[in-house]
Amino acid sequence: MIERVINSTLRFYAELQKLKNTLAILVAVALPLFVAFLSFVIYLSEGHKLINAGTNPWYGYIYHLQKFWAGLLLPLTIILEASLINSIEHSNNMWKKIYTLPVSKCAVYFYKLLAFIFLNILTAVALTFFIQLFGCLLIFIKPEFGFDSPSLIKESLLLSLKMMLASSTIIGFQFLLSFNFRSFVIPTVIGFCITVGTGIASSWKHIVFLPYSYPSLSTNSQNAGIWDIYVIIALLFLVLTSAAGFYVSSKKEIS
Amino acid sequence: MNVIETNSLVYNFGSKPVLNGIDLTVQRGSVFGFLGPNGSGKTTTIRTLLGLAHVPEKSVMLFGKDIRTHRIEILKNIGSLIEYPALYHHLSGYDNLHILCNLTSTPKKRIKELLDLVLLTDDSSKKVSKYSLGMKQRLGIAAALLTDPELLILDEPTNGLDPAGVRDMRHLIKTLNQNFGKTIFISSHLLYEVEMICSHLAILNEGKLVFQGEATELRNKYAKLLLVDTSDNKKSAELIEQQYPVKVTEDLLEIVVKEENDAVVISRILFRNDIDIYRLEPKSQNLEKLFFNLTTND
Repeated sequence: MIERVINSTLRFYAELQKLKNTLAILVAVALPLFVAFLSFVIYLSEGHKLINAGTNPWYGYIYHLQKFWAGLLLPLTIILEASLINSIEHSNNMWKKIYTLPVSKCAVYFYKLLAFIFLNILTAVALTFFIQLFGCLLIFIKPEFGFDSPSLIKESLLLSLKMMLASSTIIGFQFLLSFNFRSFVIPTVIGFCITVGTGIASSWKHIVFLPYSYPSLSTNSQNAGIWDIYVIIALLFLVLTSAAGFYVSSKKEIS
Repeated sequence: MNVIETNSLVYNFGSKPVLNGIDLTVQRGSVFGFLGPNGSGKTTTIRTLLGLAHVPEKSVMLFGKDIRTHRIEILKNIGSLIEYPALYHHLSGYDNLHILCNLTSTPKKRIKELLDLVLLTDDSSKKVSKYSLGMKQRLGIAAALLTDPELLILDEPTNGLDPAGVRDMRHLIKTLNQNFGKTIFISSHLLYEVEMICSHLAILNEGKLVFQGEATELRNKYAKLLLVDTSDNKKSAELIEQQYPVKVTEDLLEIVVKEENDAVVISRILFRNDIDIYRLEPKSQNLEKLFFNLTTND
């Protein structure tokens, strides 16, 4: 049992080792930094219009930033990360090596998917960190905004993680696409088209049928907790796409 | 004991047959050369041996077990290098081996042993993208040896190497076989290389085995050449041509014979026609010529 846990940890760690010197980690951290910085600049110049007197400014600051993040940049980050993490094997022609190792074919898919989910958690944590960092900077630069109020770090982190969980469909589907297509472009373009299409259809009354809208929809929910219907459906989709991935991996022929 | 055994192995690429009933047998401890022209099905055969292509049950047996039902167990005992070595080019040589160690739960100390063996210790911290092809091939071999497998399957390991790289690779293969007791299955179209290092070989043409056995057996089995020099080569050629194929080269006659005592028959013909024989000696064809004959005349 202990040996199995150690072996599983080593396999997961091996997947993370592959990310060294790649853009995957950079993208996971740089995009949240970019969004948080953008929001910081907007608050610096237009903050007085965005803050309601007498309320904790952190509410609006966190909500507006994460709303923008959930609608566009989160799906794009996932799409890009999925292509990057699988291109490590595709571009180095490593599948033929990986599939000749004494490892089950399903495990090949599983541990890579686990590393990809880890990257998404890293992105969610990085987003919270940068929101807090730039919010704290505003305390010193614009003390009149009142950012010295409680910074809502717990709520901010929960919201980031909730968006990440609500994006599980995107995580599962984009990973499956990138796993199958050698080309970096095809899964990226497919994901991009679905994201843009979902954005255009955002006011459509049946938007709930488009799972790429769930990160955004989950931030609308009045439910303060992490679990809502979008998160649960998205997780079910992740289970389904993973099952499809295990099947594809077990039947994969390498030329 | 046979390490590899295929039983009427067939494989189709769509509707096109690529392998047509191959019965391959590789004995433990041998260096087995797998020859064939490009497109003959060598790499496809190797893919089936490694479980990378789907094949019917019991058609590929390794260590007496079916690759379809005992894949992981079998792969624990096989190291492979298929065509150009698959490596993470953005990482160092050490990191590449470390990742494979973690994936296969192999102790980390093995990395140093292997880097020493393939003479890459000094370059282990360099990124693989900065390696020469020869260094990549040697790192690929180290990766294949990571789990200390009994069988090494190497697909065209000398492809693209310079003469020094080819020599190093040949030396490494011999060392692995003689000093470490590895069975080595090596595919190549560099016939000269195979002739130098392999104890056994098989020749594949258009998805069919046209020969399988010991290298010496191949030479004995097929036509030999007799080199003859006489007092009148032109007349001799005309006389011998009636019974044997003759080729006149510079000052010599090259006569294709089947049996040892054909030399006696030829010498009698020349003797009866008052032609003096200055030289008459057998010349066995090199493997390249035999291979060419087998894969073009059939």
